[in-house]
Amino acid sequence: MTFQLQHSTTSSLLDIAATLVSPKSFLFGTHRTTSPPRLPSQISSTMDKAQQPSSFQQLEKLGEGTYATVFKGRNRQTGELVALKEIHLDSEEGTPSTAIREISLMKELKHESIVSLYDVIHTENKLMLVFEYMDKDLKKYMDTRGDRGQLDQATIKSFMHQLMNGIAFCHENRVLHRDLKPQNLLINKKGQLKLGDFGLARAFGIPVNTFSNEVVTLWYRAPDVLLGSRTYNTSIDIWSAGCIMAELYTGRPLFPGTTNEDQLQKIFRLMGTPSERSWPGISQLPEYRTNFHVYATQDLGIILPQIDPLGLDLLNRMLQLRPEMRISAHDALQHPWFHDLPQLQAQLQQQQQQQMTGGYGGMMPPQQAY
Amino acid sequence: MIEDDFYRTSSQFRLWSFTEDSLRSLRQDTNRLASDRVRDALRRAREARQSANSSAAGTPNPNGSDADSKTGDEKDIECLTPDEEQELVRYFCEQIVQLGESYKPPLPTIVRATAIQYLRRFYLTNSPMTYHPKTIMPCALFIATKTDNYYMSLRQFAEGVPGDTSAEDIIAPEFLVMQSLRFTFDVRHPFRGLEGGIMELTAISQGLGQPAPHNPNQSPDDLRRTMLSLSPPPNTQSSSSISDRLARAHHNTREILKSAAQMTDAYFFYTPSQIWLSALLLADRPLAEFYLDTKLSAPNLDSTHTLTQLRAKLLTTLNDCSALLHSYNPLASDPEQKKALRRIGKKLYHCQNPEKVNLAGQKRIPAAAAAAAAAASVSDPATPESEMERLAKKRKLESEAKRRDDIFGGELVMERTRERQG
Repeated sequence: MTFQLQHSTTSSLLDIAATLVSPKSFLFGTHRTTSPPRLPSQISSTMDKAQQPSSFQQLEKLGEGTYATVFKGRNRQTGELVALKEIHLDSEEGTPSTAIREISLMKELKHESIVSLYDVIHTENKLMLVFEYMDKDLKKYMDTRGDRGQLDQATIKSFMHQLMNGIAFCHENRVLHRDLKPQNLLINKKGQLKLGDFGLARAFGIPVNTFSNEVVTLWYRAPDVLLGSRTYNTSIDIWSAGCIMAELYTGRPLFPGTTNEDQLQKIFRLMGTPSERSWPGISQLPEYRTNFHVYATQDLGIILPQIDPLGLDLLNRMLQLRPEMRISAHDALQHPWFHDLPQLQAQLQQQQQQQMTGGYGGMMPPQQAY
Repeated sequence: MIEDDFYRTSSQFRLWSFTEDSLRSLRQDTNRLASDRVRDALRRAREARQSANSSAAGTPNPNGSDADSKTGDEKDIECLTPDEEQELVRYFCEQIVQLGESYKPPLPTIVRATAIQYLRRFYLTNSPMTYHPKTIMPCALFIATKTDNYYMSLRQFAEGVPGDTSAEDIIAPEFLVMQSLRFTFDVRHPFRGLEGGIMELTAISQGLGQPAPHNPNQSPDDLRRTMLSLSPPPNTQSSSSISDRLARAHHNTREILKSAAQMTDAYFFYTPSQIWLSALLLADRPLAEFYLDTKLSAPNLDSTHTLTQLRAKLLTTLNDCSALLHSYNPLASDPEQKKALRRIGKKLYHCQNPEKVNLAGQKRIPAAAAAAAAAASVSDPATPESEMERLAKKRKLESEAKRRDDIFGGELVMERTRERQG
């Protein structure tokens, strides 16, 4: 019931408020050289203090996001690598609402499994978001590191744990990611996995019935969303995570559908075609057809021979067709499959150290370059 | 983690929560800084004009603005006080409610509430003397439509803004506002908590209440019976059903959250849960206290029990918050306030920082514009003069435009117009 001041003295609070420092300044303890001193005689506004883009050296292009281009960058003062997400300002609409929503969410979601937003910079006609640098996305990681895209058991378990951890944090903060896919999961050299690209994410409250159903890349899209449900919730992210888990084992997307119908068919062929009996209320969904081809449920273990029984159990709980049957992120983290994670991680660390000491001599094949 | 822990990680708690003292001194410092800058800017303008006049001795300046020479003669600029600034900001917060209402369909309550909090946060570190609220207000509302997923095109939005405000004018200060908000756009409102509380109370009234964890012997029937035996809220006819009572409490609390909670400093001092509980206390005190009892009391607790102490402490906080909410007096129903506001508007006309009037020009190249303005103010006296003329013209145009516009404080503008003519 007490309201403590965030900063010990008012003058420091004022300094902070007046110069509008960003998290970066807190993190690195450096003052912006570009900020004009606060002399009363000087024309000064918050606007004048926008950090110059030249504070960062722009390096190679890393990729295209949902509404922006991402570059590798280097902080000229600290030498630290960052990811620069360049957002083109629309003269018609100002700052895109996707950018505003992403900034808004990233300012609230501070977690080790979620990519950090350090700073926001404004330049002539664009907005630049400065993110923590991650080496590659999970898709590229699997392409370069894995054996034909497949990853080893310890890495899979570690990635899945971090993924569920990040999702659980989002859901506890009432945020749906809505667009989880390997391209949006970022990996660094320490073996950390973090959720990125919150351009489609949104905060949810009660009720959640006005969402657009035009979200989530088709392959990772939950069957309830494909069937046109607009009252989806946290369970859509769990479905995506299940698809990603299977892909970590096989190196290939689990349900690579081409259209909405094809996507549903690929899901039903493996998981079985749902009916009013297995999923009460399904016939009320807009995209439900009475003439869906009826498939029997297959055993996921057949297409995933490498998976152990506990892993298969967790996967089956995540890939439930009925959204309310899907396991929550919080419960998934308690699943026995994760119990031996600490031992596996210790082994993994040992292996990495051996690679580090042994690997740097000569030419390294690309998959060991990590 | 409990809900409170999440709130403590929010930007609203981290960056936008204050004590009364810290908030007051922040506002005082902002006001002092802005006042100094206004005086300096006006002095610079005066000096520039004088040097221009002396160099063009005897030649009447064809573009010379009478408004400028008038302010030039004034010895001391009287600036707004922090209280006057706050009055003005509150007026424009009320304008947000009205502007939101004027759209078809009206903008959702949550969008308007978010915009109001943006405006209030903006003016913690900026002064109305530097940036006039009439230019910041529509921008804050437009940003709120983006953050709260209420999609509207800028053109559509601009059409709803009365007067000559163009789409370009609306987004001109967008980055300035975003930066002043420290890029934290997520505002935690008390509305959702209220819905949850009402759902809980409704469940209890239907005999579906859940016993509190510390009081497992409580039965749903006990809860329901206690609720039905509550004394009626003051000023109501006693013979209403419990569902009517809940509906009335719900509605009245929501009205307080839409008005008093927005227009006072409640968000800066209290958490969303404290705000809605305080509003419920105002709407139906016996019901609100009963709700607290279901959470924080049990038959055999003595006064030293943690829960008893917590309840007492919480009630003190809630009563303080209730008093703050109760102190709110809508402008429309208070002629004294209107009078005061007219005076403040008149005062602001003379202490508006002339170097900050043209936001649209600064928007695309803020750094360059600032550099140019800074260079102009020190090196070339001719530039500020023409700049001043341009600004004076723009201001004239603006106030002419405003004369036609009633929603936007026509009275303020009328006062100014009269002032200019007098």
